[in-house]
Amino acid sequence: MHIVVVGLNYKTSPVEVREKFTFAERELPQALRQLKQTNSIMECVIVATCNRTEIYAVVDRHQLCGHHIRTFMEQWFGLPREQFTSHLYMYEDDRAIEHLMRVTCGLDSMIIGETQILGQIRDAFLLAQQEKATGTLFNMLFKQAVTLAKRAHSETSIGEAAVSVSYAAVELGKRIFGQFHQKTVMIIGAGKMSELTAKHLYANGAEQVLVVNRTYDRAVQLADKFNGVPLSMEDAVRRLHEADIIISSTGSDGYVLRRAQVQEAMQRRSSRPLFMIDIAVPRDLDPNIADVEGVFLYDIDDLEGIVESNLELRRAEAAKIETMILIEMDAFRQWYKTLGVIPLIRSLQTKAAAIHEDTMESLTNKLPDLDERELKVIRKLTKSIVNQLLQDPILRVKEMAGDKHAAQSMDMFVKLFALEEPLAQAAAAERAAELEAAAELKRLKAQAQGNAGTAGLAAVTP
Amino acid sequence: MVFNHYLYVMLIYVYALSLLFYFSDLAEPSRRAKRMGAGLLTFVWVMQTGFLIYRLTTHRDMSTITLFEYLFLFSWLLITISLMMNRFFRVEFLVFFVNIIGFVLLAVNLFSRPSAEIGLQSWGQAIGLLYIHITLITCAYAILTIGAIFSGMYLFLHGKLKGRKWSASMRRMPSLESIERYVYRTALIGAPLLILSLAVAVASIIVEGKSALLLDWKVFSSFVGLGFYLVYLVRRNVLRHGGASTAKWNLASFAVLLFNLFLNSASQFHNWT
Repeated sequence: MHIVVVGLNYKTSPVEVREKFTFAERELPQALRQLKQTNSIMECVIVATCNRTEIYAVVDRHQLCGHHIRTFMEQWFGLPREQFTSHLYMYEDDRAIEHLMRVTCGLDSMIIGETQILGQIRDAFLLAQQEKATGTLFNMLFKQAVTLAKRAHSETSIGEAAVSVSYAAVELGKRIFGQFHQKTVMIIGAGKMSELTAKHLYANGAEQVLVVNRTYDRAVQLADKFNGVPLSMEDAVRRLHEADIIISSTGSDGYVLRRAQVQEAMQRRSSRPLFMIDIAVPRDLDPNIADVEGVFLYDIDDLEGIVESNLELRRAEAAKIETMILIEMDAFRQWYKTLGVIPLIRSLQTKAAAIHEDTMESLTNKLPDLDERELKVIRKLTKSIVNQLLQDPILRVKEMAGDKHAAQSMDMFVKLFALEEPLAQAAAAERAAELEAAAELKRLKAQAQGNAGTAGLAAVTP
Repeated sequence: MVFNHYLYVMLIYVYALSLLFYFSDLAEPSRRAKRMGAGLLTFVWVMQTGFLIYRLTTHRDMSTITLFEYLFLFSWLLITISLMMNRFFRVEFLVFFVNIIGFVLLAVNLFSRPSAEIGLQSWGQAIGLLYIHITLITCAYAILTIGAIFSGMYLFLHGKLKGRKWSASMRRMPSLESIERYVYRTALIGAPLLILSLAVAVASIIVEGKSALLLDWKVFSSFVGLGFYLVYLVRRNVLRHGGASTAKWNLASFAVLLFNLFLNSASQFHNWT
């Protein structure tokens, strides 16, 4: 069996291509069912977000599996493969596992370390599990990837530092004020960035928002978004001392606020600090304002510098997560190697249990005078003998599963304990159960279609 | 005695190790390092507490307190306050710097002068008042030491924010307003303790009939130190001076207190250095 991933993302294809390969949420169950029925595919998960569409699959052979998946995509999206093959990437086995873990941890995201992708991967897996599109491998792998991502986010600071200008302003504000309750924000101008920053501050608890604009109607429009107060520029200067945070982003050529105005406002502020953010180019706020005691003035370059510094920090944290990924991949490989021995161990334990039962039955026939308690003690002790005898062989075969000659070791194990027949019987029973489950599913589908037809007929018939 | 010596040395090593772990966590955030540091520091605190209880129960004659015991108590007090603050507030920098001071005191105490005594024998009637004075002044010094560290943190963060120099360490410090509040609260607690301590000291001098000692340099400088803290409170609450200015004044006040310590040698009666 092999694990493969085929997909496209924001790195390999522009949005005009990605938008043709989106799965609507309501379509995903049907897509999973169709994909599961595709040749070679034993398990599958579809991850569909705005920045990537990926198909994870467990295939029985890796020749042609890429072809089968591309065929599915052709049929589903109704596009010839020549239109999208150049944008696709495909990874197999270790590379596929590594890719999944990197994606889940946010290392492959547009904003490195973002946490939204973790929830998206988890939801994609849970849906696939619900649709019975996953099996032993993906049940283990995806759970491991999600657990790893949670650990990565809690044990490193990859998600902590702000990596956008507006969030950098909020982070700075927190360094000055701690929290924004009972703080007043003043927005001067109607720039998108200042609006976004004010929105973040308001969401973080800022109590009052004063909106200043040359055009009063525009100020009213923006103030409505924050339950704020619209002001003219003259009122803004008069009430400057009330603001704890001032964000300015006008299209003005000259300075909107000068040092003298701010100095006067600070005298009325009783030593409380004032945080001023100048996002405009050319700058709105006189740079000499920075010299006023208690004023912290930042322009767009300063904020972008903070963002860059935080991105560096995230990249450094990403290196730690890469190490964690290597360890998890190794753990998955070790687990995968032991998969093959599970049927052997199960067969051996079943055989041992059957021999134990036969022996107990024979004992009961030969010694009918034994009471309940005596039988119980003998059963317990004989069971203990069986378990102790099997303990070492089971441990050893698990260890041997990771060796170079694992296949030969397992063959020898089967021969030594004469497990050929029990294994064949177990395989046959499993196949029969699978066929029965498929037949039952077919019967239920047919029943559902029949009911839908009857309902449609009932709707049409008066 | 030999056993005691090895115990003290072990204490110093464990203390140093805990500070190394804290430093490691500050340099490169690591939960494991922080937990190790906190665990080792707690161990040091437990050992110190055990030693203090032992001394209290065996050292019945309290007319002499060795400087070793006094500084040991001071170090214990610093650790106690830092651990309590770390429990309720996220102030790793404070824990680190407070314990640097505690460690230096403990190390110097152990290796330099364990035998000097604070002789209280000559203070017959007022000995009870002196115990109160020593307790209050120790608590005042401990709290005002923490206030000084917070002032230093404030000026550091203020400088960084004012100069627009962003660094990862800033994210791990409390906000500027929070630090300023902590500085104020330590002064609000420390200054009254200082007042009470000096009042009790003056009372003990008068009770002993040694009023001439009120003109001693030590008494004068102690009141000057107190004055500095009172001016800090006035500047902060009444004159509404900015945080940086008041933080500097707080540090200056602490410098006066430290200078006051060194004046012990110039004192006629407070000279056990």
